[in-house]
Amino acid sequence: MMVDSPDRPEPLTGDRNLETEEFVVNMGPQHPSTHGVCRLILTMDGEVIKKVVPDIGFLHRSIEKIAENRTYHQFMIYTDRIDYVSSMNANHAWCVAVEKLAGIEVPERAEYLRVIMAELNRIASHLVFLASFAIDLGAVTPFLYAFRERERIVDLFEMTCGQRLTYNYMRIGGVSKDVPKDFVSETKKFCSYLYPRVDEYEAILTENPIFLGRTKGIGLLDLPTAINYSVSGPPLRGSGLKWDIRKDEPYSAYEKFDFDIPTGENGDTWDRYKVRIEEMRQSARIVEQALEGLPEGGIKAKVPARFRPPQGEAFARIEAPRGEMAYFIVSDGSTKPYRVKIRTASFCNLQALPVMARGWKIADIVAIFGSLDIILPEVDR
Amino acid sequence: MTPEELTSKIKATFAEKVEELPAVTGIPAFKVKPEHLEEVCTTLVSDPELNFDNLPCLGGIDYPETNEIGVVYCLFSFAKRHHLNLRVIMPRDNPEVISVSKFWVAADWFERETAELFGIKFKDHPDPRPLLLIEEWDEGYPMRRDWEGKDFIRMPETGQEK
Amino acid sequence: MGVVQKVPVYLEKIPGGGLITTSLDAVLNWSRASSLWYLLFGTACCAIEGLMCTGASRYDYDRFGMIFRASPRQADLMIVAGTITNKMAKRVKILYEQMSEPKYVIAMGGCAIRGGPFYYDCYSVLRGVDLVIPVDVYVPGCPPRPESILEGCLKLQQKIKKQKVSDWSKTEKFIPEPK
Repeated sequence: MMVDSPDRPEPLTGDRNLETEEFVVNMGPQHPSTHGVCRLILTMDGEVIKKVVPDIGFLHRSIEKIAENRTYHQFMIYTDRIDYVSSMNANHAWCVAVEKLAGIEVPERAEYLRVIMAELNRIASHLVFLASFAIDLGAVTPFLYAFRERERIVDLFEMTCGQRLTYNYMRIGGVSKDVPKDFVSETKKFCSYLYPRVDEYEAILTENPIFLGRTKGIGLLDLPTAINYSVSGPPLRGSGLKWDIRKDEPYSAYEKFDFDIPTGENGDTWDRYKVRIEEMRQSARIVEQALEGLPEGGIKAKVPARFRPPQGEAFARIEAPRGEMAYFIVSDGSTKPYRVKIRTASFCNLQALPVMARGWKIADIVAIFGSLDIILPEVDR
Repeated sequence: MTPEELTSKIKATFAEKVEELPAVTGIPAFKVKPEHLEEVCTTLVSDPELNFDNLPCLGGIDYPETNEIGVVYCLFSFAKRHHLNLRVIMPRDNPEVISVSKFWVAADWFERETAELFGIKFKDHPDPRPLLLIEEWDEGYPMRRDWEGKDFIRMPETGQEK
Repeated sequence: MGVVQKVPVYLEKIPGGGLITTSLDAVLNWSRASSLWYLLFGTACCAIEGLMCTGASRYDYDRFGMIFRASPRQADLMIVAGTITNKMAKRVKILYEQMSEPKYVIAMGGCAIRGGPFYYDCYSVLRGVDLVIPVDVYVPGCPPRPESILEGCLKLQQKIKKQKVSDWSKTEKFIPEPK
């Protein structure tokens, strides 16, 4: 039985002012879950995020300035370093833009090889996403699994172009060298090896109650906001828009292949994860089709070493793993571009982070940030 | 809308406010005077036939020979699936143009970057802080073509340039 | 007593007793060299190769007793993996100062060594991390292969094993000022 004593404090009633004082948490620039050097200034009310202000520029390497002082061929190595997790796609974007500018016809075999490399690199990039996303949420095993598979892709790239990360494989007008003899059989082996592995990741994560609790319904991004913020790639598809530049504005040889565009329903963190998982399967499908139909023939159009595209401008965009990557090139007829504007997916996707993170708990920002799959050199360039 | 339809539609809608430029690899391109930009953008967003809901890219461009500086807007419409390229050219001494971030929020960071690297002032920008450069930066606008800094080393000629 | 069998060069067992004698140098250097906990700090491309790939199962830092730490207070080794810009340089220096002694630095990749491909025509990149913090081992490459970074770590272990405790008090704390 409870005894009423005069010392007992009065119970809290609803009309008391329980508001806490706002305070600021500084996340980064050195923070393991910002995947590089990004600083987030979080204004918190207790554990709830009131406001997020991303502070970027810690990796601003003036690549656009460098582009004005390099020839079209020389700039290829810098495209590798804009998006190092999928350099093949970054190479591809630059090639597509310059070829559009100069009207170069690329041999069909080269286009197929480009597609194969770009899709393998997309799988590798999504594996890096899976690894870092899982480790951010506290699951260490998928990190080891994903890197096990990624090493096999890297081996395939290494046997083709000799590099493990910044491949510099594509050239304006084609690719630098043909694939070695056993590349086709090895890649086929890899594709059939990959499908059960993707199922394995799904078995660990997709329906895992802890994972669901951390991702389902967290960090919602509705479609009109996504479009207005110019969000692209898996976050846009996660919000429910069936839009993929490979399908809707086909470049290279993509119109010849049959693949699906996975989309999400709610635009939450889980949807973005699920879209990427599904994209890995679709990419493997494209690779298989391309290997099957790989035509014989030349691998490089004739492009002079002192390459001078005609005066003019070009805007070309491709679907990189993180979203839309575009180059706007202005040529004055010399060997160097007059101006290169690089539009990267992460730059716009990160800009939408404040909308997605507002109102969630501080632990959720790690999940939301991870699900955007930001690469900082792409943001800062 | 096909590029040809779009070109004639834009010409009919804006008449003398826009000036046609050579197309950018099939994308219609137009020059807009800075004072007309707000009006043009309002129509581009609200007209149901044009319906430009997306801004994929925005960047500055410098022409020191003619003492001009410009901003390039690449627009896209998810609803109608067409592209448009807008350009604003201003005198280089005190370039000023209205911010388009009230039409497309994506322009926010693009404009901050352009303002910092090219020295173009965007009127009514919601958050006009610098974005990329070091906090103590005082060496001017590095993306201008004639810019020289005290720490800037030009690459020696390799012979491939000529 | 597994230790005694593995490191017979450094340790001497007293017959019949539970004690071993060795020099303080040997024990300290041995323990320092074989538990280099590295700071999880990558800026650019090299972070994928040097920290993620090498930390994963095929190359595996753990073999050398290297475990990643997210806080500089707990780390002994900073692998500067990637380009350091002028804006980041101040933060790198703060991170280095936050690490507790003894601390070591590996400059990984062309960018951390001398600016790499961003040496020319660039207005924002620091041309070498050694302008800001002292570096022990340089690992060239763009990016270096995981084997190279492991070789760099082994070189650092050799360097540590040559240190003397008595030298620690004599060493001047040389930290160059950022320009």
